[in-house]
Amino acid sequence: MKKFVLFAIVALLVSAPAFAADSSSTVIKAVIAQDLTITGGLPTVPTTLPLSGGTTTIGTLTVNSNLATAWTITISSTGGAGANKGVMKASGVTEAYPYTVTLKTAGATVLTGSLGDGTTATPLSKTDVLTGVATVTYTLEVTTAAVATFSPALPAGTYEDTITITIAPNA
Amino acid sequence: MSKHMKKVIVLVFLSILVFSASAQVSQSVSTEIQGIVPVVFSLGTDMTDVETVDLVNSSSAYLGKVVVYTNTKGIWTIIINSKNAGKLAGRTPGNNDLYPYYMGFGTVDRIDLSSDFEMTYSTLVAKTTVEYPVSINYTRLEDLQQPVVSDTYSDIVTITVTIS
Repeated sequence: MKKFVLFAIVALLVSAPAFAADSSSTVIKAVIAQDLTITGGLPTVPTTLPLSGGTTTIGTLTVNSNLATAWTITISSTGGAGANKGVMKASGVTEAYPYTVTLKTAGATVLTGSLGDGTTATPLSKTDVLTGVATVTYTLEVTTAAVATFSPALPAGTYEDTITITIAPNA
Repeated sequence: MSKHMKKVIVLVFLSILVFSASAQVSQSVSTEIQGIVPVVFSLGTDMTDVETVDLVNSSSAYLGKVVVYTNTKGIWTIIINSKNAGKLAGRTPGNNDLYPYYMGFGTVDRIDLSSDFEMTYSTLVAKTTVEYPVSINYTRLEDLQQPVVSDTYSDIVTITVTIS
């Protein structure tokens, strides 16, 4: 009689694993990469500014962004291998032809001012550009004074500078 | 460490790499602007077409100045020509008397215009404005060795400046 009871307990223990639950999990995800691209509508050949001065529209550029965070746009003078420092310069001439730039959207001015005085470069930056998922078109303008107003006058020559617009996600 | 754990760690690591790579990307576009300042060369004077001098009471007269301006480096060539070879000629037909004079131009005095006078000026720097005073020297009427008859005497002097 004692032996019978022991067998019954053993049988219960053996059958218990047959009722345990089992599962397997996996994680799925889609990674949407950051997209902050600039498409130049700016001229690839030099834009000749009028001698009479005034504001000249150089061209437009388009920025595509899907960033939820702010990003930075910078305008800098890169002519003369960076030596122009915000002014137009001519070969063999020490005098400089100053100008200012304006970068605007359809609704607002984003950046405006001088990129330097020929001695010190002063790039213009806006570090809190927040567009979200959007395509924004910017217009670049350059403003100069009339050549006739320079005193002393500018020597004859072709004055040039290169303007570079850079966009980058904020670190 | 189980295989599942290893996969999770690798995925996290890759995600960090992707995020880091994107955060460092920047893009730029460039364009060039230019302003072309043409060569300017001008010749001006405050002299009138006819300058009258006093042959009786004076032996010289300041006629005015010639102003030359250029915004480029170069060599100016100045040529002064006298229609009557450096002499004032009687205007009345039949009067062949001549009244000699010398011209002063800039820092050069007593220029004999019996032949064209030529001088060069090198502009070492651009944007140069140079003023040349113009005058004439002559013998007073009463001191002339060869007196002239009463008449109006004149000459046409042409000053030409070229730059090269």
